[in-house]
Amino acid sequence: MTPELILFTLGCSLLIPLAAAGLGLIHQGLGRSRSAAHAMLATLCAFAIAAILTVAVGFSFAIGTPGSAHSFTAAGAHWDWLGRGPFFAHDIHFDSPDPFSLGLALKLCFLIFAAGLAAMPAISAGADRWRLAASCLATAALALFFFPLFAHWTWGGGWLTQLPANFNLPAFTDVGGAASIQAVGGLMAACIAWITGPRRGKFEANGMPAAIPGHNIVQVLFGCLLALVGWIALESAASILFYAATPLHIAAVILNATLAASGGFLAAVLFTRARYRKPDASIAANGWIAGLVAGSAACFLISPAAAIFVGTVAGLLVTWMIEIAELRLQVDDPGGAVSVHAGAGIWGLLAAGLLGHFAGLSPAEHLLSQMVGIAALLGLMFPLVYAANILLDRISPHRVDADGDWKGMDIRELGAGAYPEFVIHADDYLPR
Amino acid sequence: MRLAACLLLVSGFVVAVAALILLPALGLRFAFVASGLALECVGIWLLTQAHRALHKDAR
Repeated sequence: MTPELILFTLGCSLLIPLAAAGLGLIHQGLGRSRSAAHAMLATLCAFAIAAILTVAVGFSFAIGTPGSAHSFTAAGAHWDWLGRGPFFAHDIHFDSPDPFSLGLALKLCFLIFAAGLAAMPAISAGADRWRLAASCLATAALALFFFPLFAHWTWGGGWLTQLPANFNLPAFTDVGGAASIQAVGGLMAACIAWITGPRRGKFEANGMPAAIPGHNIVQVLFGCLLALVGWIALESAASILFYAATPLHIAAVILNATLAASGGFLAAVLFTRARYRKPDASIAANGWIAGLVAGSAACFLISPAAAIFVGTVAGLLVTWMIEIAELRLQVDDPGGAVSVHAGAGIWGLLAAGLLGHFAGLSPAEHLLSQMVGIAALLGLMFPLVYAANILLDRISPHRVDADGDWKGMDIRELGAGAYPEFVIHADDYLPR
Repeated sequence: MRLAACLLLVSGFVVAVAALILLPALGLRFAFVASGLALECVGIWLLTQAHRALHKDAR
């Protein structure tokens, strides 16, 4: 790596937290005003826990020492399933100029933020009812094991990257973390939405959903712009660190991320305009993030026209999925995190196989590799994350008590509201 | 019901990996991996229904 590229990668790593800031603003804006401070605090707590645990343990599981990993041989194939290396990144010598330490240090800087980002969707799905202590415990489990596990499979030389040697298939492609960050986070969000159950008043006895609109749509839309900057930084850093991208590739990353987000956003605006006669700002914001999520699977591996297509389909898919989740499945996901991060992430992975430029390889083979990766996400990661959260729910209940349901998370858990002098809750005056 | 759903999810993954190990032809592999994914989708649907029933009781 040239010194210029090293500096650029460090600069990108510095900007990744803007993606978390954007997502934090989006999910607190889409929640109720009486849980706004709680949502932002939970976001920061998750980010802090993820950073510490990634340095302590997660990095050694995700990347570890190159050439050393937990593996086994079965059915004639070598299965590299978890990284192995000293905890607390002891093999990185920060006072030494050797390229080995430099490469690992850059990956560590990237992963501490990536792990934090993976925790964001669950906070959105559990908005207004997920206890802070429980969210910290769930984030710790995610950063300690689940995120590093899948990150190792895709970025650390794990079995999904060994598909060419073992099964004569192309390697699974996930350049910017559509699987390891977004889909893993989105699947955890589904678990949290299921376990915590719907917010009080969300569904009537006959199952009809009530609209609980977000309290600050301006912050939601500003969060979209912040997220774009963070996302481009995330994808650029990942492209350089794990896919040896050149400056020309980085130009394609910037272009494709912006085009995919724009496609998703406009598709959601036009769809809601056609369906409800007026554009829905919160669904449009979800379309923007869905475009970014879907585009992050292939990053520079698709053409700009393909990026627009991927983003547009993601925007439409998310609009449909949010409606199905609420109306048909009665899942209360205030920020649409499951649809945006898991749904669009999985679509992006499929699209990377269908539309990616891979020299000398057939799209069918690539699509098959992507399907194997998705099968691992849904069939292995999902049950593991679900079982861990069921267990954590027994230790420290995820859902706040009935008192918290009435008062809101700010008063119940923090003792003060985000907007103490400005907001009146109409349902405070309803008889209990 | 939730346990059955989780078993379906895991069996979908097993079908997909078994296809890679046992079947050399691309078409067959494709069909079996797609079947594995379909099983996983059924598992997710079942898990959603299980939680829906739980929260319906709570309502």
